[in-house]
This record gives sequence, structure tokens and C-alpha cells, in this order.
Amino acid sequence: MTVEIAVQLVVASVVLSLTYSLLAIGMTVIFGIMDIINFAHGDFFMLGAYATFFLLGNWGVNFFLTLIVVMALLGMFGMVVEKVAFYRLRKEPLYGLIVAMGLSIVIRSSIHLTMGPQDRFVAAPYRAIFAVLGTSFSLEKLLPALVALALTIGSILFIQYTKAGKMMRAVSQDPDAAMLHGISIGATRLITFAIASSLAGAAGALIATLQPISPSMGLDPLIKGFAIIVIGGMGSISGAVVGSLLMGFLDGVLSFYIGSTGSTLLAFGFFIAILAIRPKGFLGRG
Amino acid sequence: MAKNRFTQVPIPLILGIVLFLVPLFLRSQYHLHILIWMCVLVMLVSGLRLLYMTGQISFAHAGFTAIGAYVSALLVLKGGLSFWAAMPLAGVVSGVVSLLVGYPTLRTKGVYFFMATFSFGIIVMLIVATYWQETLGGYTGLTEIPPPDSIAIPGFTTIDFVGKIPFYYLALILATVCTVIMYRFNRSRTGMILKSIRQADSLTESSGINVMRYKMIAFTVACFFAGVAGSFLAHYFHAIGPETFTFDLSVSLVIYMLVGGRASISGPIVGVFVLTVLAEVFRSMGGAGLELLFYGLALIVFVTFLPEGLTALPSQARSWVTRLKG
Repeated sequence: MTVEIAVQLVVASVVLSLTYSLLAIGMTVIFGIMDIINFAHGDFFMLGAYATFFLLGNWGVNFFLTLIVVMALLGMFGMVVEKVAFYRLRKEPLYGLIVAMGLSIVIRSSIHLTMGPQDRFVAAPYRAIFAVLGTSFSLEKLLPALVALALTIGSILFIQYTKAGKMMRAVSQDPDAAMLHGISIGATRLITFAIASSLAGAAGALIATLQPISPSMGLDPLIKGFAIIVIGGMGSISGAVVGSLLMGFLDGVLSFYIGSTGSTLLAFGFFIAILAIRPKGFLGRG
Repeated sequence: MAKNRFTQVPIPLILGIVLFLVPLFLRSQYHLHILIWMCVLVMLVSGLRLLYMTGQISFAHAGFTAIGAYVSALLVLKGGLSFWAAMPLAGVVSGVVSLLVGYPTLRTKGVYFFMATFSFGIIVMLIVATYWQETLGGYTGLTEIPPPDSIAIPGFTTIDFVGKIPFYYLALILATVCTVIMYRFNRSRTGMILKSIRQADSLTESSGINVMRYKMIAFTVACFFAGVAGSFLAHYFHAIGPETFTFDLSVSLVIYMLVGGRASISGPIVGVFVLTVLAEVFRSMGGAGLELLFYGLALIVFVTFLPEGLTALPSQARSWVTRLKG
């Protein structure tokens, strides 16, 4: 284990952590406000990656412009999904989950039918290598990591300080009291979904240059996202962030030792254990 | 029309006779295969339904089927056992594993149980694909699994498991036995307790009934049948691997169950029949992808508009009519 390898592992972990945090924040916020576990979240991520494949890969659109467009598209798509599929299912969270599963299947098979199952690739738009303190970093990985960091911080600030963010937190804490204060639950749900899905789309866009794109690429991040929010606490954003760091470390560093299957199994093991012992997680509400 | 014993018995009996005679006039191997697959599905979905009577939905059923399949295949391939011994053993192993999985997880609420089972299903497949590749076969899985041993009926004939027809009858018998057992369960005291758990579990518990015990019973029985079904599949397909028992299979089992409904034991049969027929229609139009798309849509539509399934339609219709009348 040389310094060189260690640094690369840390960099890999950081990239993974930040990407996961984009997904996890979205998932935890959806759960906190709507009591829905969005099983289709991984597929929003996948759609973001495919959109990037077209915009950046095929049509050569500027990377940052692509990112903005993908986020906007996924945000709108998320709002449509919320309106059409979920709004009827407030009462029984298990049914909401099942609808989300159906949605995931529909999205995945639509992409499978139209795009085919083969992997797609997008070349990274900016390439450079930095040598810092004797080790080298590639811009390919650094740029997505920085953008993901910016988006994560941005969404935390948004939820903390903007009016919409306060609406979201109010509904998450006490929907009835929020209604009494004139907050529209329907609008809050829409905003929540829009933000969560655009973050997922962004994550997809950022990852698109780093790994192959396929219709079922969203399943693995979805599962890890689940594990993250359950361990960190469902509904808790700080939990999502902390959990993402843990998961990124697990995936990046431990994979080196026990293989990626091993680290997935470990994550699952944790996940089931926590579900059995303390389903709300460590930092969650309740 | 009142449901009494006289109207209930003939319909299943007629159905049974028809199904029994099918191979006489159905020549297409492909259609026989579909019928066999439907019988296996009925076994699997009936178990899911039993568990759903307590309000829990398991997404691990493909995993338990896989356990049964691998256990049976290994017992026959490496252990030299006869299929007829391996099949019940496979069911037992599956049942025992379900006890271990169910004990910590069944006590949680529906949503968390879902997540635990869905993880478990995936864990099983990951382990099977990655570890002990010598024994378990890795990604390619186990191949050249022999068919069940021939049954010799002294003085009459020997039944060899060559071609689809013997498998068809075996599947039919298994599915029938399973359904009959479910029927007895439904009518028994245990069945009524299961129903009451779904409706009001705290009330049931305060009546002095150990809710967990009954949930575990339902779960274990369901997984036993999953193991038996898995064993059948292993020796019918002659080859199994991680790709045979995917998460998508678990999901489709739940879809069959929800479409059919849990109101009666015919729910699984109705669900399996309706969806399989429709899926075949879609498959002939657009291939496997379209079939999957259709499943996803069916799931969304049914959970949104008809969560109790098709078999609940008669009672739904009755209550609408009553409401319209007065």
C-alpha cells in the first residue's frame, strides 16, 4: 500500500461519497416530507446519465450547460412523476413504495427498449493531470467531485435558508401545523420532488464520464442510497451526508481489500441489522 | 348466488379435470412450458399471499426459491441423493433460513420489512454468484442437473421424466397440493388469526395471541413452498444460475399476488393466469422488454386503483350496488 495507491483510493472514495450524497439527500428529503421511499430514484440518476450521453457525448454541448439542462429536465420530470403517480397514495406508505417500484420498472424497460441494453460511454470533456505533493490527480475525477460538493452544499443552504426550504422542513416536521400556517402541502411535495430528482440527474451527469452507462445502472446506487439513509436516519439530511461519507469510504477503500461484492454485502449487512434494531437510523427523526 | 359447498366444489373439480386432460390435445411444447411455469408461479404466489394475509409483503421470494433450487441441485449432483428426497429437503432448508431471516425482520413495519427482504434477496444472489465458485458455479451457475428419477409403478409402467409432459403433471400435482393446503389454512383457526392480524394487529395481540408466531408460521410455510418450487425448477430447467432468480422475479411475484388479490385462495390463480396471458400477448408483439414494461404499468395501475386485486371485484361491486340502492 503505497502513498500513491492510498491517495487514489481516497480520491475514489471522495468522488463516490459526493455522488452518493446527491442521491441520498434527495431520497431522505422525499422520505421526510412524503413518507415515500422512492424506489425509482436510481432511475432518475440513470436518465441523467443518458441525457448527458446525448447532450455532451453526441451533440457536443458544453459540459456545464449540459449539467444545467439535465438538472432542469430531471426536475421537471420529477414533478410530473409526483403529480401523476404519487399524489394519490398518501395514506399507505407501502403502496407508495410499490408504485415507485412499478415506476422504476417502467422507466428502466422504456430505456431498455429504446436504447438497447449495451453500455454507452461519454468521454470526459476536460482532461488534465495535476501533480500535487508528488501524487497525481486527474481532472476527470476532480471536476465531478467539486461540482458534486458545490451542489451538496448548495442544497443544504437552500433547505436551511430559503423560503421553499423552510416550507419543506415545516412539512417534514408537522404537516398539519404547516397547513395551519398556510403552507401548501401539494406545492411542497412538488418542490421536494423537483429538487431531489434534479440532484439525482446531476449525479448521473457527473458520473456519466466516469463509468459505462446502461439501463440498470441506477440499481446499485439506489441500494447504496437506501443503506445510507437508513443508517444515517431517514429524513435527516445530516445523516444522509454522514452516511454518504461512510458509504463512499466503504466502497472506495474496502473494495480494494474485499472486492466490490464484499463491500456491497457489508453495506447490506449493516442495513439489515439496523433495520431490525433501530429502523429510524441513528440521526433520524423519532 | 350464495357460496355454499355445492357451488364451490364443482368448479375446481371441472377445472382440475380439464387441466389433467390438457396434454392429450395440446401438442405445442411452448404452451406446455407456459402451463408448467404457471403452476410453479401459483405455488410461489400462494405462499406470498399467505404472508400478505398478515399485511407483510416479501420481496425476497426469488431468493428463497433460489435457495431451494441450489440445495436440491447440489444434493443430487454432489450428494447423490434422489430428487424425491432432495425436493422436500430443499423446502425444509428454505423454511429454516426463513426462520432466521424472519425472526428479526417480521416484527418491523411493512415498509422496513420490504427493505429487509429486498436486501436479503439480493444478498442471496450476490453470494451465490461470487463465493464458493467451485461448488456453486459462480455466474454460470450449475448445469447438467438431472431430471427427477423415474417412478416405477409395479406391474404397470415406469414414468420417465423425459419431455415436458411428466413435468407438467408433477407441477400440476404440486400446485394442487399447495392450493389445497392453503385452502385448509384459510379455513382453519390459524387462517382466521392471520386475517385478524392484517386488520388490527394490536387488537389481536391484546387478545392474547402471539402475533409474531403467526407471522413466522406464514412466512415459513411460504418459503417452504418456495424451496420446493425452486427444487422443481432446478430439475426442470436442468441448469440454474444467479440470473434465474433475480430481483425482477421477486417483483413479478408480488405483482401476480396484488393483481389477483388476497381475498381468496383463487387470487394467486387468477393473478397468474390473467397476467401470464396478457404478458404472452405483449411478448409476441414486442419481445421481453415490452413484457417488463407492461408488468410495471400493471403494478402502478393496480396498486393505485385496485389494491385489493381482481378477486375483490365481486365484493367491491356488491358494495357499490348497495351504495347506489340506498
